Amino acid sequence: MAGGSTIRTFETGSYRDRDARIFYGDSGEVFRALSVHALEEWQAASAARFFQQGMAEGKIVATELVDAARCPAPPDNASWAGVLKHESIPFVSYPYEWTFGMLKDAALLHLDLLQTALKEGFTIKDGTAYNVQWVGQRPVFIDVASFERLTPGQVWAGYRQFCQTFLFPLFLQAYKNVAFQPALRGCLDGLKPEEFGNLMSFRDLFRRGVLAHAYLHGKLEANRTVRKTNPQQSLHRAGFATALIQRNVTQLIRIVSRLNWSPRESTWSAYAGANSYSPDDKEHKARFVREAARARRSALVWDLGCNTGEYSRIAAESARYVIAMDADHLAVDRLYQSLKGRGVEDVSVPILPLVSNVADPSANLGWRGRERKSLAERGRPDLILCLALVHHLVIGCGIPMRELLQWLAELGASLVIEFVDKTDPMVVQLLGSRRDIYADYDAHMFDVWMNEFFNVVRCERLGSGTRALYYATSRYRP
Amino acid sequence: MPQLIAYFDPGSGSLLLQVLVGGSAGLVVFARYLWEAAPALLKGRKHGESTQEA
Repeated sequence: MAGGSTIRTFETGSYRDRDARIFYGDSGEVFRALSVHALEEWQAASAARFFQQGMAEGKIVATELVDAARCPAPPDNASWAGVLKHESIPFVSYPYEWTFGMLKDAALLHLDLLQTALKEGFTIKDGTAYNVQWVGQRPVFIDVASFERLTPGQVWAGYRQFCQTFLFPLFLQAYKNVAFQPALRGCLDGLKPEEFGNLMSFRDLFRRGVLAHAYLHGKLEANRTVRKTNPQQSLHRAGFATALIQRNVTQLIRIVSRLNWSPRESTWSAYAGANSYSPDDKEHKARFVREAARARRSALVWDLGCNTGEYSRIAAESARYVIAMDADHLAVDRLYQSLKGRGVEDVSVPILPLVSNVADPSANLGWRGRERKSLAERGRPDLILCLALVHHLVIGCGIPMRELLQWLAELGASLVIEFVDKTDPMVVQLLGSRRDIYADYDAHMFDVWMNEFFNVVRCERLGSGTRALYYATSRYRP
Repeated sequence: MPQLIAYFDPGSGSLLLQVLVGGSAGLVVFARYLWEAAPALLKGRKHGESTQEA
């Protein structure tokens, strides 16, 4: 290899489908190389009414066939039959970062597209949740190469994947009140039927969809004799018809639509009504954030510890896209639901809510450790909001404050950060249940380290006297 | 030669379940499937299965 040259590769998460692979142009444009087979399927699907309607409604990612001579060559320089160009997704996210409501809406989108495709003689060959992405609060189906013409007697090959990455995680949350994100993050293929069925109690068998899709499905998949048969051909001869898939999909739409997860409260969901801000402080803080966000139009803002998303909304007034992150699932789900309700016609608020914990963030996962990427690899922010969070990370999670500030600086962005004194009632409460070993959690040291890693543009104290806001730019360039 | 279970992709049970949730039409297909597959299924049981996963 010549020194310094970089090897062009396909998107590292796009390797399973040999007929269609994603690669990027020099300016980040998204292309998909197609084999002869995939090109034929694309030509058939893209001419179908369901596909054109899905694309017009924003349910399927905007895609066009481009002249291969006018776009960059696919990285392997092999001869591909055609190249598609997709509209870019503002920020790639993964199902293990979504909320219950997001996973449910993504599942319904998948089923809706499959249902309309089946009516016109097409199927979706995959059933994975990773084929859905988000533009604000709008789910978008991105894997256009998974639409194929349905051959008579063909079963829904994506059903197992649909259960593993959509249905079982939703059951887990709705029926057992167990967070699905760690399970999906721990196994990218999702929850296996033969294992998930074992989690279901006798009472669960009476819940909608569990007996067939989880319990019986698990028993069949665990059966060695069944596994050794290859029923596809036999089922075809036995008269398997598309009507059976349609019936299954209709049932699944009914099951998923009625799934509900609504715990009354979580660690953080009541935060908005139980904090130590006076109305004046609140207004001051909002003004500070608004001015900092307006200082430069940001392409991407990260709001860490967003809670109700109050400041994400303020940042979104002058930023192209905001990722609103919080470790509290319920708080983020409520934010998603409220944003979803606020979208005007087809235009959603440019905020993507994600369940993400600064102390335990999404890592590089999967094949070569590059199939699913860490947050920063998917898009570095221009502006970071870190409001009322430092005390939780330093005292609650035990992260040394200097290292926290260094990590924030290494992201190379501007920063709006709030420091809350040890005398503040919220910090007093936090320290009440533990020995104060946090000598580094100190207003003076915070100021020293902020100046070490950042150029502090502005620093203001809130009227209560226990909270300070900083607006700063990083000294690092990533 | 013993058949190793690891060489069979999972998913057969998922295919069968799609038939079982298909109501009466599904049951007809399932019955026809069983009629055809019964000898193979019985043979599989009779010969026993390798528990090796290598």
